[in-house]
Amino acid sequence: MQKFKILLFILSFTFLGAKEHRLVTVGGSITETAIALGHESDLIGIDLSSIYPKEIVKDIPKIGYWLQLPKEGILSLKPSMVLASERSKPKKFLSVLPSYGISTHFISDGASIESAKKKIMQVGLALNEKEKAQRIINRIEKNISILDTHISKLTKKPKVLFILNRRNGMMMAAGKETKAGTMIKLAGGINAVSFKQFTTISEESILQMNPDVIIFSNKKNKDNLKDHGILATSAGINKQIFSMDMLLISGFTVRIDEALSSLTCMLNKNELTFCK
Amino acid sequence: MKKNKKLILLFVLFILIASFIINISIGAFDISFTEIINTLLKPDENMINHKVLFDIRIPRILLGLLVGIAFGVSGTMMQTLFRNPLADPSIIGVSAGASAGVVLFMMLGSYLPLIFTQGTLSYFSLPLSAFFGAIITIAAIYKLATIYNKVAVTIMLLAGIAINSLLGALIGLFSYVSTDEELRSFTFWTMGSLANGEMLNIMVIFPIVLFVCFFAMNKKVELNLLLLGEEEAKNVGVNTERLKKQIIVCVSLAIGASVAFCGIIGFVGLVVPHISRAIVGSNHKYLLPLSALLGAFILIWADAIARSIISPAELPIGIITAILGAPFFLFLLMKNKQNTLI
Repeated sequence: MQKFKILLFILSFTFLGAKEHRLVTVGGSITETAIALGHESDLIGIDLSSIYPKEIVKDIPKIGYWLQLPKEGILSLKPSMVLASERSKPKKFLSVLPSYGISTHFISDGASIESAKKKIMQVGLALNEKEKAQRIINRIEKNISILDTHISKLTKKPKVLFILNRRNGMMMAAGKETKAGTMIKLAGGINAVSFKQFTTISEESILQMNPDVIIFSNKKNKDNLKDHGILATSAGINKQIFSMDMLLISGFTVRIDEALSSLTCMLNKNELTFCK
Repeated sequence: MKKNKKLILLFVLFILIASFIINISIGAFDISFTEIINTLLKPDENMINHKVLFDIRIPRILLGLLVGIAFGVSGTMMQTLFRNPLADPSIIGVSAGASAGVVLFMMLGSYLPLIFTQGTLSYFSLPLSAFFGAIITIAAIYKLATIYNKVAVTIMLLAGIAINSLLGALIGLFSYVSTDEELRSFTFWTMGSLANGEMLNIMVIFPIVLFVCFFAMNKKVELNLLLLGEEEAKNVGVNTERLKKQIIVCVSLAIGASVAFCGIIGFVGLVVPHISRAIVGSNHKYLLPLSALLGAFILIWADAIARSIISPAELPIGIITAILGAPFFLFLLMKNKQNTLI
């Protein structure tokens, strides 16, 4: 037993030694970026919004939600580096983290492609992975410029409705200033709704809007549309109802090009050259 | 009998002090008792421990103590003032008013000069809007209930309910138009947290709580007489109108300041006076100090649970106080059911 304990002790050290950093990330897209840059084994704590890739993040300790980070909770993990979304709170506490000897970086986390690229580079620089980060950014730039040439050639902009939730007849539509709304605009669509945030809308108002494309955040909701009024819209008649993972559409992360390309395909009946 | 009650107070005080000391060693960041002593003796060698203890944990426990005292004493005074066992500080609109203040600040924050939303001052914007929201609401309810310079307690209660639901609608409207982020922040705020425990906040709240405690203890005889009924109290020479106004001002100050820094922490103000009354009876000489001690005791333990149960994450303390408080309150209610019938 004693030997076993010693072995375990030594093993734990080699395991710890394998970590380049003791890394805590705050913000789903930032965690995803750190993992994409090959630092998944460095992660010792993530916030509750970090839910992708599922198999990797499910076993990492969660430190709560990025709007109310626990002071002691973060310190108790004894991190050597914290990569936090610039929007995370409480700011006052995060700004004193360096005095505990923790290298702290605030990462760009806005709803734009520029911000996504900046995010990847900031995480890359912090983790000493500038080249990998640059490679991802180059790929994104290349893919998006291809997309843009296609999108700019399109003559007709489809009217798009993104629905977050469908429960008891209540539906939440993504407004213009939500991340999903921004993505719709980038993909060359027109948001069917005029408001800014997520707002509940009725079946009747959807019929009135008559969107060309409807995207659900949840595949189950998309599949259970039997006899629903939505089917009478132009999207329903032309079978232009899709589902897209909420994280993918609103992440602004390393998968931004993938997200934008599949969204563009959905908006254009999969008729573009790069659509599957 | 008198001696017994004093002993009970001393006993609870002793438990509270012990709890305080035990609490210093509870938290997500692992620090054992020996390490605490080492840290106290040689702060330079245990920099991180020292910072965690003195910058985070001890201020947090102190804030819990003060807010707990505020809730205990205010709750007792409210129940005496209204002669209603259901009265708690939220009934005069403190919670709803503070929530509305926070909501208005979040909604209009982007239109305010930057000085309020960024930099050092911004740090006080949210507590101040909560505080003013609470005070303005109470003043409105109070004004509504005042007839010929007298406070009609029943009207105050009913006006409180009406104003509460009006403000509830305002809050609902906000949640309808707010961004995801604002809504989340607000939800967290309504569930309360002692994470704002910082020396600066404690310096603000300490004199208020101290003043309210002095006031309450100073008025213990009048409060006892008020229990007999307003007319009776007046007949034996209590200036009830002045007393009522003073109580309302004190409670708004104490609870307004608590809510401002900690958000809404439910049930403590309601349950603590009931427990205390079950232990020492209705004499305010014992009831007030016991409520203060028990309020502090319950709050620091609720926070100990909140900050360690799902560590490294934290639960909002309002959830803990409600989970513990509600069943206990029901238990008390059932136990005393027979007495109520008679």
